[in-house]
Amino acid sequence: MRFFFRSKQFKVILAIFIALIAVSIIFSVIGGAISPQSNIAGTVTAPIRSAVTFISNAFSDFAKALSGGNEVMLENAELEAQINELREQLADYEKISKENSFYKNYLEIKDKNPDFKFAPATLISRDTADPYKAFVINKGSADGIAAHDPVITDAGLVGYVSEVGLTTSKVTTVLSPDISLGALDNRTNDSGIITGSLETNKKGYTKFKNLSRSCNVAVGDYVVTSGEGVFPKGLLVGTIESISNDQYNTSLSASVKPFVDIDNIREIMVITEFKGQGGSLIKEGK
Amino acid sequence: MNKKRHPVVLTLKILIFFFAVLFYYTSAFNITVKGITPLLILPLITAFSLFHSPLACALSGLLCGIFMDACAIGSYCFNAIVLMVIGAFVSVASGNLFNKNIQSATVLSLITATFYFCLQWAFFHTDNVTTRDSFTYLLNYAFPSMLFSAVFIIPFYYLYKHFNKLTTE
Repeated sequence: MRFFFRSKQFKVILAIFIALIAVSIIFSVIGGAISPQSNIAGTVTAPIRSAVTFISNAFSDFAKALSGGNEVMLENAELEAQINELREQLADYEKISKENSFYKNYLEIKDKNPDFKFAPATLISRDTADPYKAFVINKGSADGIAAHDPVITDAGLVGYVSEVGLTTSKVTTVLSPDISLGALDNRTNDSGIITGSLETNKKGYTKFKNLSRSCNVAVGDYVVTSGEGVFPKGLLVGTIESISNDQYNTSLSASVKPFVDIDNIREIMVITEFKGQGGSLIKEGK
Repeated sequence: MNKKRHPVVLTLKILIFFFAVLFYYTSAFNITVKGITPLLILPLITAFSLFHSPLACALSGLLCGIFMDACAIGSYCFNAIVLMVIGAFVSVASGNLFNKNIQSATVLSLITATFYFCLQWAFFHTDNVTTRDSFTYLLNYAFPSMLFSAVFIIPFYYLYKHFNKLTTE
């Protein structure tokens, strides 16, 4: 053992170790950017990861179709009956339901928010080590994406870009405690903060906390972004599933089920520009 | 004993490392049981390091770590540093403190998995989260992942022992 610590091999390993620690410290101070060696490796391997994800998705679809064929057919029949009933009751929404395709919904968001500029992206890998379901997309700073850009699908808010490489970026989801965004109850206008926790994450929910004890929020209400921080106003976050007192009984908090099915995301849109952009995450207080 | 070059074995070793990392970050291919996914690269590095020099193991760990950091996009070089240290440690420890048998491999695999997941918890799951969430992560994710990952040392040990036999004269 003593010989190893005196050897050239040990000195080389020690030098690389110190260099990596230095790079880590520098990039943790900068924040939002990824280390150069990860950037190069990410850029080089991005096409391979895209291909593997594509095969993985196809494999997943095939397995689902194979295992849940009958179940899906029964479910489809039930849903069709429900849709027919809803069509009669909500004739006004018929037109909208016909236009329920991926890009048309984005166009709708774009129509409502002409100041939004989108960058479409595809998920290329998931951060399996992250219980809050962070993932990596195939677009980076070369495509105009910057740290803290909001990420959405046609269903609603997904999260934000937490780290940016040249051709890839990491997306932190609304389930993560790293996210902290101002939100409103769409019906009552009661305001609070959306942030994740491991407790709510188990069910795939996020937390709507800091609600006043006198607020009128109710189960089933929609939660939307309030426009404070890095997110534009009015993005759909989710529906309130349950309401409880916080730890010290000073305010209320609610469990919110995101509209977006984060486990099955494949295509997303990054909002690269919007009116009033330039805020920061509330918790960071920047 | 002299090592002889064996291009097929070398290619296989590289491909195994490559796909172990790649599949970990691809949802349809990773082995997840009740939300727990084993980090196959840990027993793989451990098994590899039992039969190679500290420098080769450290560099292999470093390359795998950089690839992992790229897949997960981390501003820290967490995986690069930790896997490099694990590679070097296992190689030195197996040559000086342990044997190169399956029992030693299992103990080393448990040590490396504990080291990796405890560091990951300390660095990424103690800041900005409640104490309850932090310990929930440790008990519900880190410890099960640790044990689940360490189990894979058994097939990888025999695989690398066989590779070692093929490349040793």
